Amino acid sequence: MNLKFRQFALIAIPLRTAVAQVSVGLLLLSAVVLMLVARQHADTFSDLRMAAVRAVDPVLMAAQQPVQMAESWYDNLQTVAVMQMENKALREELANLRQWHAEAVRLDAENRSLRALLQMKQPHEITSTAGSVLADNGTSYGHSVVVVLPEDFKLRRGLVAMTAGGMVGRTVDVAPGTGMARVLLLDDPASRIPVMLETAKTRGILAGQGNGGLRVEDLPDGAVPVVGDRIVTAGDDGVLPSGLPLARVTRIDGDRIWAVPIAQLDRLDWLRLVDFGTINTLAKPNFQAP
Amino acid sequence: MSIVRYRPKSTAWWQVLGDAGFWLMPIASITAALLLSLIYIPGMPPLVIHWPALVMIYWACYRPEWQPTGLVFIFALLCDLLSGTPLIGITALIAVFMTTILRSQNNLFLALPFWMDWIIVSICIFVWRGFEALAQGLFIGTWPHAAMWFTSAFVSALAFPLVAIILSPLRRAAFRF
Repeated sequence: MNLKFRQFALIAIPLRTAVAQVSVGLLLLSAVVLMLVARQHADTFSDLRMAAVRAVDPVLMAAQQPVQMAESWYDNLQTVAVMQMENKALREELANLRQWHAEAVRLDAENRSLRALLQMKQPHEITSTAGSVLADNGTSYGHSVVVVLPEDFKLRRGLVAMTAGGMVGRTVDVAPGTGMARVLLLDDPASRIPVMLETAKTRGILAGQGNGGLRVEDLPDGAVPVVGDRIVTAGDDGVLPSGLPLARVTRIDGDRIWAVPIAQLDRLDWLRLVDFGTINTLAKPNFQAP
Repeated sequence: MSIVRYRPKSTAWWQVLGDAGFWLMPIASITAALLLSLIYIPGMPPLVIHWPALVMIYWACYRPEWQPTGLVFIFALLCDLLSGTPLIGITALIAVFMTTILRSQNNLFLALPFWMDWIIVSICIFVWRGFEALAQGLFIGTWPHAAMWFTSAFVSALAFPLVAIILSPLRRAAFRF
């Protein structure tokens, strides 16, 4: 018995060590293969990613409850004085907005009559819906959020995510029929958007820097950007319409132009997803190598 | 001479858990860390603490036998899928690599004072974040700012004692019987 055990140990112990060493090598190799395959089959892995998010959705919803409660308590703690000041500011803003609304209604009527006169057709049908932010990207240098929307909304890649401040990003992963989508935010290093400087009328590419900041790249020679200039979508890519407000120029350092998003990317409770009905969809998730 | 009957000492719930669920503790703690990193907190600056990495490193340093490398691989892959990182598999690669090195130095970590462990773990976190940045630069073509790499690694390294305080009772649970 003892001899048998020794014979067994003589084989089993080195075998176990060898298996342990080989398994580490196999796991490392699997990870590398997975990275390469995931890059080649981005669509399949995009579906897999959304399926994983869907699977943990109830847990995330439950985990989000204490955060929402804390946020609600914080809001309630605001003093009456602060609320009165905000109220006053909001009344002034409302009066201002009413004037603009009246002007918008007048221009809309004029626009319609001119379109009718020219027999011009509306190029695209615009649809939109609002959803709450469920989860945040927390483990890499990227910046994206998962949004939960009404299930009947027709989701696809390349939809524009907006807040009252302007555009904040685009959908890159969607799970149609479930109402879940991942929005790649403007400051993600993989985000590249064709833009135009509103005053300078110069076109370039708005690139995320991963730290809440943005940079305008590929401006033509002789461009004269101005600090404070608004950056809007250029509409060159056929995916985004032109004129959506994105960011504001904050610093010019030689040929480097820095900007910050107009919308607060770190305070996204709700997002509006807009389908401008432009070109069908992005061919692949837009975080692929340019 | 009377016979004194053996009476087992009363045990706390985590002590029972420590005896029964060697694998359960890393699984539960990494899952919790993963969820913590995914919860959206409005107003938080984009300084992300790499909670799953800290927990994996902790178990690799102090209780490697409870956290097999396969488990690290699965959780790191799950981390990649849920976090939306563009390179699926990168966390798995780094996690398996780092934990394999750290688990081989288990005796050293147990012998050294905690502040020295903390320094070594901090270096590991910087290397971990460095690998992530390197992979992103090479595969995606966008290099994260050095300041961002430093800040995210530094904040994560600062959070390690907190992880150690939380997980330490669980790690010691098995010795208390």
